[in-house]
Amino acid sequence: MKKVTLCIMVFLVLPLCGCFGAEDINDTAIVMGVGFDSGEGEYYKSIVQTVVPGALSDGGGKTYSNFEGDGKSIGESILNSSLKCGKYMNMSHTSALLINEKIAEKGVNEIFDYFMRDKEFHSTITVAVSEESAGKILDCESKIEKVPASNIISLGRRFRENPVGEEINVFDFVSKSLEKNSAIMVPIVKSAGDDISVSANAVFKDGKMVAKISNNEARGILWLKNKIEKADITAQMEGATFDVRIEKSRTKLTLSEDEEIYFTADIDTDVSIKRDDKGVLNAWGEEKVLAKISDTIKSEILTSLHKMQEMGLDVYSFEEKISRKYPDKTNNETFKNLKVYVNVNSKLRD
Amino acid sequence: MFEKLIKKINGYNERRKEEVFPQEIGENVKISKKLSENNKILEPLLKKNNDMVIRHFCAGNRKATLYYVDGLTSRDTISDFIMRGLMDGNEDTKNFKNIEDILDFVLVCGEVSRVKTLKEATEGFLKADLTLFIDGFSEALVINAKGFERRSISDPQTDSVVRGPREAFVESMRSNTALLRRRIRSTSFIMESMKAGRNTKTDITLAYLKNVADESLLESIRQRISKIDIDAIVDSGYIEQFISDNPLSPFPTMGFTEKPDIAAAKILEGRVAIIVDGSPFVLTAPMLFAESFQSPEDYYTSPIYGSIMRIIRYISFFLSIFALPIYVAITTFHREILPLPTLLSIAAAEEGTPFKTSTEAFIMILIFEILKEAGVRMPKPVGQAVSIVGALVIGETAVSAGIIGAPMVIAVALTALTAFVVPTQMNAVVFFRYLMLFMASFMGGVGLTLGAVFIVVYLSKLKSFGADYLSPLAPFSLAGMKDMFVRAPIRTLLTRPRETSRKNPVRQIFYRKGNEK
Repeated sequence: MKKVTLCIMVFLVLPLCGCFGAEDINDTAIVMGVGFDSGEGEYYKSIVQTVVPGALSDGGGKTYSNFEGDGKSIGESILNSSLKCGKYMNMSHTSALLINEKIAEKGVNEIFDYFMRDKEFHSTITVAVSEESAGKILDCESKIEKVPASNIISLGRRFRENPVGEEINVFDFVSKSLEKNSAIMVPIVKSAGDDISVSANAVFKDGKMVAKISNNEARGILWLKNKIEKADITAQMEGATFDVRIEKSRTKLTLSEDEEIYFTADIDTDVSIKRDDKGVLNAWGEEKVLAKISDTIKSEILTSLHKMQEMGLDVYSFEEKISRKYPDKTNNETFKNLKVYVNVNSKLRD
Repeated sequence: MFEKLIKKINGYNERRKEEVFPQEIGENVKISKKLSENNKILEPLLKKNNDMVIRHFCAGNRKATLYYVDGLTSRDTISDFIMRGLMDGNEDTKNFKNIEDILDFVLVCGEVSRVKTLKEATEGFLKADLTLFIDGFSEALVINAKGFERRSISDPQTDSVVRGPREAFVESMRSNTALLRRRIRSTSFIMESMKAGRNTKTDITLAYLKNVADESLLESIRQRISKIDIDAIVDSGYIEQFISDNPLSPFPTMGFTEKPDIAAAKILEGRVAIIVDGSPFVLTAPMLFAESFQSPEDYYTSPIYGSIMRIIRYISFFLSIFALPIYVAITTFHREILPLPTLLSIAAAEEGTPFKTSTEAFIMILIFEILKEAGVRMPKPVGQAVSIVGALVIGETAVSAGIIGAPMVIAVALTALTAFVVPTQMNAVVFFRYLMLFMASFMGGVGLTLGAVFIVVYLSKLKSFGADYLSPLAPFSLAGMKDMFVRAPIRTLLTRPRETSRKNPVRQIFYRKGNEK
């Protein structure tokens, strides 16, 4: 009898702690993207993009709705935007974070701190900087994606085919900013008609956007970061141009010391000729053409490297690598004076 | 405090016990030498019955009376082999001096027993034999002349197999024992008989292998059956509820089967089969949890296929309890673990439905149980109506009307379907599904974990006739693992399950191919 009473008591107590955190799926708004514009004065203006699931499946009506809110801080602006939404805003599926260029120049540390600490946001949110207002980008009704925020989520997919930038998420951003003296590359998007395109890349240092680099320069950087899977390049041979497709590429960086510290980058690429209407391959032979391709890649890499060294923006995390191996041998000028030897070895793939 | 209440719940007073079962013929009333005295007691009791035949005749020089029940006995046997011999007037047979003479020279019957009390004599003709009283002897003869209608052996309704024997037990106990005896031709295969039920006097047979089955197990079964004091045993289910260790447990602690090959296999592993007259389901004890997932077909087909099917059965069992609760827990508590596209399609389907997900789940599962029950009970000609109502109204229309979300229907269909994969555990599945659903809708993943822990603890505590229910998992036995989640090749299954055959575990000597001596 005592046991039965005990069981009943336990089961009576259990539901008391129940329902904590319960939220029916009908009462929640699924947030897919968050954008930040600069508001009046010191105010932030946040745009929270929620999905309208019914419209997504039926294909009728607007598939998303944006809620805007102003606030002195990031949190306040998001809270204020949630006041306009009749449902509980579920942040767990947010996958795009868009930051206006003006805010980026002022500093983004507050935003990233908020996103890392909040328990609902995942840290795998894709980050992008917008050239125009974030609200405008989050209102681009693309023909392919049903929800504008997906345009930003799909950045990684675009870069796989055409590496003009690097997809970066909140966690990567924060962990890179903890590295020694490092700079971070974030794609800049702008609206192009109905779609959005990547116009350039922003470089962040110490939580502030400090430079803008072009897409081609960005690709030169990505070679050294071993982030190139596929790419199309155009090479020139005595006035005749031909198109080359990089099918596969692998970069091996080695750090060595001998009198001074230097990096060696060995790049192996598999290439295929895509366009050769001038008959370059027949006229010059395979070996020379491949050497030319390697040279083109190498000059692309070095152009970017020299520019970055000039600006002192270590987007390659070179200094972090050096300081791990030789903790005492880095100073403010290390990156600027660093020697990087690049060997490119191209191979024709049938 | 509760004495009065308990008395009312019991419905009778302890003191009235004797009146509940009045005895018409005393236990020890001896058969009288005078035939008329025996008839004086029996005739008034029986003469109102229209199926009772009481035949007075002269056997040789003596008077005799034959008692039998019309319809239960074979008329040809009675007239050709019993009465003809007694009445033919042959000098040799006419002047028999004692019962032995009749047995030796007159009765042309196989099974005859001599009884000394009136009670035994009446039981004789009530169980479809016939009873012969002869004047001048203080003994009666109970002669086997059974000839009642019985269902012929047909395909089983449960445990169907693609490959394997297709015979099934029937209601008549003798046919069932014959089916078993045909499979196990050993002198150590014992069929022991018992009885239960004051009015029904149901025959019960314990079938076991003398050299394998545990003596203590047998003794406890015998003891438990002999303690039953009820007016009627209608089906083997009665016996199960009386003698199983844990009659309230949702998990069955006694096995039952309709197929003689399964029963024989279990007897050969050291279990005891309990055959109850009137029931086509044979009980086996002890029962282990792993047994529910073993199908006879596992052993008849290739070990790889058998193992895959067995693993699928375990997965199905898990799904049938947890699929719906997990769905409810995830959608109401842990949406963040769903990938975005999945969440969006669920959200799209659930949009605008009037109920909460947990309420929907309860409604759907209730409707399904009602449908299932209707499907089992209804007369066959209206079967189509139920399936149309079930499939169209509940599934299709509820979704298109926006009352129930489509993923919920999928989850319920999955739980419903998977429950049929392990039919033995169906009761447990239904019970724990409700419990888990309750826990999941109140506490989400925490509740599910609590519930799962409860189930595991309960299972490990459960015993069946002294055997640990979770064996060979807990207590662990490596040899037992060969027949738990997978089915190892027959020639590697060297021993019987540990829990059922402590006395004689070895089944086979390791089989070697080739011509070695």
